[in-house]
Amino acid sequence: MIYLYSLCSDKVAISEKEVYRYLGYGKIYPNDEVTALINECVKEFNKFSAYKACYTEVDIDVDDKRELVDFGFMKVNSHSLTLNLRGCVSSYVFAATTGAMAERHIIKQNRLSALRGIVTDAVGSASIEHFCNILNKKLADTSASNGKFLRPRFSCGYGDFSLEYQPQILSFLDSSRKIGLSITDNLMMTPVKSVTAVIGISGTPVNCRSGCVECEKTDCQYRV
Amino acid sequence: MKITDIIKNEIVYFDGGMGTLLQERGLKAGELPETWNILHPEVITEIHRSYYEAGANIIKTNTFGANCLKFDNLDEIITSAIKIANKAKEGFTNAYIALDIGPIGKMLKPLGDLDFERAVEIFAETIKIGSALDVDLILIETMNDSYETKAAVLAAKENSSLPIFVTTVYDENAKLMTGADPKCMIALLEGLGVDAMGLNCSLGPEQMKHIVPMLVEAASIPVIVNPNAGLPRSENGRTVYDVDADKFSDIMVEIAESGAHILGGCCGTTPEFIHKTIEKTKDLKPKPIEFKDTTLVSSYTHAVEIGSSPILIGERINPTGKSKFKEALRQNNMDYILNEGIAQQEKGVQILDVNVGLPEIDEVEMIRNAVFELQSVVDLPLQIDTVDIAAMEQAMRLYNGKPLVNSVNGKIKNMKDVFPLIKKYGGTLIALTIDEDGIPDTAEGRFRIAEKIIQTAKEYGIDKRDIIVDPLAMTISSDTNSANITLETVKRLHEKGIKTSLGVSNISFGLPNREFVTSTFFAMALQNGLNCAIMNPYSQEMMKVYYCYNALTNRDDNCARYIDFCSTVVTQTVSAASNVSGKIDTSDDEPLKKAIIKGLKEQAAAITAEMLKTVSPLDLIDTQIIPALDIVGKGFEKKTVFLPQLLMSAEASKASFDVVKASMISNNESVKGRIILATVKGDIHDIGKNIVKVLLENYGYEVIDLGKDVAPELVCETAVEQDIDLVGLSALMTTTVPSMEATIKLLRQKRPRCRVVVGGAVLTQEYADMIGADFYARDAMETVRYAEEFFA
Repeated sequence: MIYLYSLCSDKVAISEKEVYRYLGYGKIYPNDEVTALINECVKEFNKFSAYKACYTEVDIDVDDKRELVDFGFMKVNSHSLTLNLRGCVSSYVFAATTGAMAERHIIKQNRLSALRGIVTDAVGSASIEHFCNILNKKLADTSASNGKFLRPRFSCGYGDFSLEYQPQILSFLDSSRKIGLSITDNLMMTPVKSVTAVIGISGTPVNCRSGCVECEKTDCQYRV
Repeated sequence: MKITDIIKNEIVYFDGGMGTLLQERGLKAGELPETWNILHPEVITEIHRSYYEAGANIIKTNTFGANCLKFDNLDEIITSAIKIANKAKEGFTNAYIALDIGPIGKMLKPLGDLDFERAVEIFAETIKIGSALDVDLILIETMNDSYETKAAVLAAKENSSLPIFVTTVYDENAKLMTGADPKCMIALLEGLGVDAMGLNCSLGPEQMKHIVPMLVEAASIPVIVNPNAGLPRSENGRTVYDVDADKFSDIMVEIAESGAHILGGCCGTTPEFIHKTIEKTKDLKPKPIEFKDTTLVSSYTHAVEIGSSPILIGERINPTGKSKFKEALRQNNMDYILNEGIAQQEKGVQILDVNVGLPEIDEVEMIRNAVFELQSVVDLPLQIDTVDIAAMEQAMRLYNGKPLVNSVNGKIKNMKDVFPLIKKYGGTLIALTIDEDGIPDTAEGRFRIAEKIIQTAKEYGIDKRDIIVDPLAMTISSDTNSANITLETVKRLHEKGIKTSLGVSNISFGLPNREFVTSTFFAMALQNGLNCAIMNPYSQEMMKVYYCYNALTNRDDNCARYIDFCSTVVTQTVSAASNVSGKIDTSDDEPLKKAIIKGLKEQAAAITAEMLKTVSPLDLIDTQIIPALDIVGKGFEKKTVFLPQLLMSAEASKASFDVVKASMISNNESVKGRIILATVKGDIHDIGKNIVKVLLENYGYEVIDLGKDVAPELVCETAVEQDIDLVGLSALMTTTVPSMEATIKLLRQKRPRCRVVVGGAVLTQEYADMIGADFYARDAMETVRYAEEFFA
């Protein structure tokens, strides 16, 4: 069974710092004009965003030797995913989106001004990440109450976990019907500000490195 | 009895969920339910029968996801589904079968990559197979996008004569995922002529309850309500829906009492839910369905009702008398049209007129582009304004909503051409009081033509509510009695309950201070009952009349909108005064340079205007604008300036350039070079490309922007036709890099002298080399630098 989770925009407080990061500022603070613009774009974005996610828990089989993870509905050949899920017997699979109206808002801003376009796009990225964090926390709390621990969430495109698996995840979650999230022929999710990921569930806590530190793309402009 | 007759007078019942029942019988998550039509037909038959036994009148075939994108054996899947349904029906009376059509599962452009016409084709394939077999109606269901819904209904109309029922998915705020509200869907679907409409899925009956009256009170066709059994949640490791059959059926009684005629269920509901609903509602006498005499047009988010308050239709997207606009059309420059659309919306118009007819351009192609682009960024309903019937049809077809269509007239041939389009695509028509004998010079004569048009429309099945008569305003400079005739006609039409519209600006043609005459005429026409005016919203005199009229006729609570309007008038006066009194600080040595570096758009424009009084335009460009851009550009390259600041400065310098250009007597601006930019085929994300465009334009290059998702052929054709030697291509995804490669290959064949610069999030030098690009630009500034070298 696929479960649904949704939040309205006032429950997802977008972090300005994250927006700065997506705009390429790294650890530097932008000037007043830019911060004012970011605030304005956040406010506007919040009028259109409606966060939705669908998720479920599946049993998995992690084959360390063959670097193969069997989710039942898909078998993934990936070194990095095997590493992430080693020792897990089940996993959450989820898809989340900021919604079609937010997407339309980004398209509109981008069509009208490249400046507002990039800022709103960065706001969208920060917002969907934050929404995923909230969902992640909720799932972690549920698991903790059952004595289980979660691994850092892992998305297609991380390491050698190929984007080619994206359609299978979306189809399995029936995401088009459940939350209005679909995928183009070229594997681009629509709405673009969407995330899919798997989150390993294990009986023991493992100190897993996550985020930028773990990523092999060391020349990334968004790296912190 | 035909199902379309029964639903008008009785409560009719749909079945409930299929997916949940199949899961109980072993369907695995991710497994396509339609495959069971072939693998386990007996299970599907048994479920259908159990619904008929529970009392349902209409069962939905197990074809929700049956489309050619998901199934190679589509024919087999659909044929077996319908066979199963007919087998299940044996022995039951009042039993009907609906060919079930769900969404395609891909988003339509501009949100996704699916073309509207392709969506129509996909639905058509399913409908052709299904409607050739034994089914009683087509149910288009679980639609969460108005545009996709329109594609499905058109496919049904073009490929079958079966009744069409449509249910869409609303959220708790009564909006579709892509924004449409109930009234908007009513306008669209009644315009398209469907037989019943309503809502299903996503919500339980409790959350749907408040949406049902919104539909019943505005719709003239039966309303369908198929809720979920609430929301799924996990209970002790078991999945349960939070509404049981008793509670569900209790609320369905309230829903039936509020006027729904067709009841059923969606996810999580079972034969028990349907049975209990029937038991509790079967003796209810359904509310009679009333015809609503309301004139609606709609966009993809909302409907505009014409009748109760005056409606402003912005006239500015029309090339007549606008040389800049004509130039924009010739160059296929959509930005001009979009900016006009947004600006008029900000001024307060409720509908946008779209006229893109020029003798030297292909109007069909142009109006398709204009409608597509406008409805990507503006959420106002559009008035499709053309005399070209082919262009009219294409625009109506592609339009995401129910358009206003300008126009039809009293000539037999014209009515024959236009009415079938309204019948097919839906729309409200502006009807001009002119016929084979010309424009009558009496109110009586014009009124008679109006009546003739309305009568003829009726013969095509188009109701009077979808005809708005334009009794034609003609200038008083050639006939001083002409306003009297027009106003008298408006009055007579109004008294007969016929809605009216006027292109008010014509009244003053040839006179000095036209606004004085036009706005007074507008006020007089409103007083005579005018419903809509095609007008210039930039005219303060016109807006004054509009807001005052509403305030004076008790159409503006607490005069709030009038007061709002006045506050903008005050601001304008003050800001004009501040410019005159020279509050801008130009004492600084390089004020313009500083304004551009800081990215202050308004200031940059104002300072430019001030400085031009003493400095020559070219000096200003050389000493202020270019050096400022260079400072910011170099800062960006050294990573002391970041992208938002770079673009802020770019916008400020553009504002400054615009003022400079306007001040130059001859318009011989020097273009440094012409460059094509495009985001490659399959890629629908074009932020990067837009950044490059802004900067290139800033540095004096002319950019031919082909947009996103651009086929290699179009890039090559444009390069050849327009004699272009530099092309910039952008890609966001690794999956679209092959399209980039294909574009480069084709360019090498068709336009070997052309150089190609590539960029985008996933591109690297290695990729660029691999696909044979001439230059890899890491960021927007690098493209500018390359262009400077190239054109040096």
